[in-house]
Amino acid sequence: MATTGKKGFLHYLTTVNHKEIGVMYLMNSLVFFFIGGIMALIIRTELAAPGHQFVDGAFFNQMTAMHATFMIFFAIIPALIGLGNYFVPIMIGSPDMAFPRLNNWSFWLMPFSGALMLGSLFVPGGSAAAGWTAYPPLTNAAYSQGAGMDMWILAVHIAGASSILGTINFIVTILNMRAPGMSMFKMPLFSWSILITAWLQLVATPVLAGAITMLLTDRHFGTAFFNPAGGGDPVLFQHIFWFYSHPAVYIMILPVFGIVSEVFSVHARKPVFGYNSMVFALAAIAILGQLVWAHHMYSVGMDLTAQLIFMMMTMLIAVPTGIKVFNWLATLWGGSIRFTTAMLFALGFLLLFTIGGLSGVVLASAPVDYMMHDTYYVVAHIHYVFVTGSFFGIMSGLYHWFPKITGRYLSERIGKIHFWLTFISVNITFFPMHFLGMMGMPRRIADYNPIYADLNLLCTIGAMVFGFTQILIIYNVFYSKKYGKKAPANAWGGQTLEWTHTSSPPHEHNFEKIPVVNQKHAYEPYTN
Amino acid sequence: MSPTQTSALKRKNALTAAIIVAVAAAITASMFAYRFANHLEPMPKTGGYASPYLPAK
Repeated sequence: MATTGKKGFLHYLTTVNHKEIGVMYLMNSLVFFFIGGIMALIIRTELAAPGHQFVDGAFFNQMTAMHATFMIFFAIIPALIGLGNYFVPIMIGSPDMAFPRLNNWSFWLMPFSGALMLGSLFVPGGSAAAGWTAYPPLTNAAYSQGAGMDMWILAVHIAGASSILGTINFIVTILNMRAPGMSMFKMPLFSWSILITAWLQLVATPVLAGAITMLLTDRHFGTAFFNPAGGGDPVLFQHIFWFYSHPAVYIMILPVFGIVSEVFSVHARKPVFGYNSMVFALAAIAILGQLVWAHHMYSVGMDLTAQLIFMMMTMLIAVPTGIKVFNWLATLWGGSIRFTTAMLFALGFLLLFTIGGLSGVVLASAPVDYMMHDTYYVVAHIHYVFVTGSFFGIMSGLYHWFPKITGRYLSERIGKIHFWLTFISVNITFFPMHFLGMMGMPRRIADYNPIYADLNLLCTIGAMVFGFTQILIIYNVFYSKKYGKKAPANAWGGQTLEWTHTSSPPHEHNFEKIPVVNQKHAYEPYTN
Repeated sequence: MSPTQTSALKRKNALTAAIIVAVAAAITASMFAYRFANHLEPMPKTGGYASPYLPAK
């Protein structure tokens, strides 16, 4: 606690150290992950059987909206920003972020925004209940009365401001603060993934801010941006919303591509195969990801040519994604693989995220999407992307980098139980949703036709096991931080700067002296 | 790093941030301009909105 000279909460309120801020992001994310998780379990409990059992329809709608909002804005994105905050400066050989005070401010906007969002559950009328997509007319003043929707808008604004400030910091840090000899194409892939994600966030987030500001003025100041009666168009909101929210999917998965690249390389003890193609694939996914937003809107009555263009562009994303998958397999091929928990989560990601990617290609087809739109097939797809993609990646990164953050390994015994229970339960929860969707079960409903009952019960059992299994990671973190096996500076034998040139945990300014990078290529051994 | 180098780096960082913000703002503005042009009906000179859902004034 040397940086601020203050103790306790005041220290954390004023710290500008990127590592502490990174850990604070991770802790913030952990809290909101459990809040979002409890909401998921409420949803699954209600859906265990047809009919209304535990909650009424209005509260169920609030839970679906808030579960997604918390998981996306306050759990997944901050967790990835947290890992980026901690490791990007070290990986590129910098003593800190370019704007340390801005970094502190970016973080502290996040818990206040989350608290505001959580508080909306307790105001008269309850929280926002029209889904995280906030489509008008469901969210206009007539159908979403009360302050809950306004608090949602304000909280998303604040979280967005936090994101924008953070992204400026990441981009400037990576462009200007690299150590001597660390050219862009020697940066570890995690740093590349954060740079590209930051660009996506910077371009897309202000658009969301614009959309919800227009929604706010429609609700309270007599404008009619989204109201046909006043010359507006509700489809305009969908266009602007998805211009942010489709890139948001990539914001939540590109850093994970970076994480698993690091994990595969270190735990298979080989440099990443096809480094340059991995970088270009990341960039290609980001660029294409910005141009495909309207594939969420095939059913609004879009022009056929536009549907074809968005369909083909979306399917094109499978090409760079395929490049990454094959490069990961080639990295593993012939490697001296250690089946650590970090590696197991990364392998689980590779297998299951590919399923999520394939169901995405299915949904990209406009005629198929007409059948599947707003069914549980979409719920299955998005959870294979976010849970077995983003969540598995974050867990892989946590098990991989925990020794660097704390100087102690996470318990591998608890970790493997955590992995296998998670791997099995996540498939029991989400795989049957593909079938429910194909049978026609609509999403975001509290009650359903009894023909869907058996599969829904199976999903609920899986969700309960999955939810309670996550207590293991909390226990593992707090237990291992105190009693875990001590880790050396290079805990896994990695070849990136966080392993080769810093202690575990790194000291205040990361390096004794700024390193000079003399590798020929990324992931090759250092000689200094 | 000498104090001169530090202040040079700070200036470089500030300039880079300003350029990034300007580019992002231009992209955001052009996106809104395009969408507004395609979705919102123009205000007729006679006043009021030309909504197909309301009787003509």
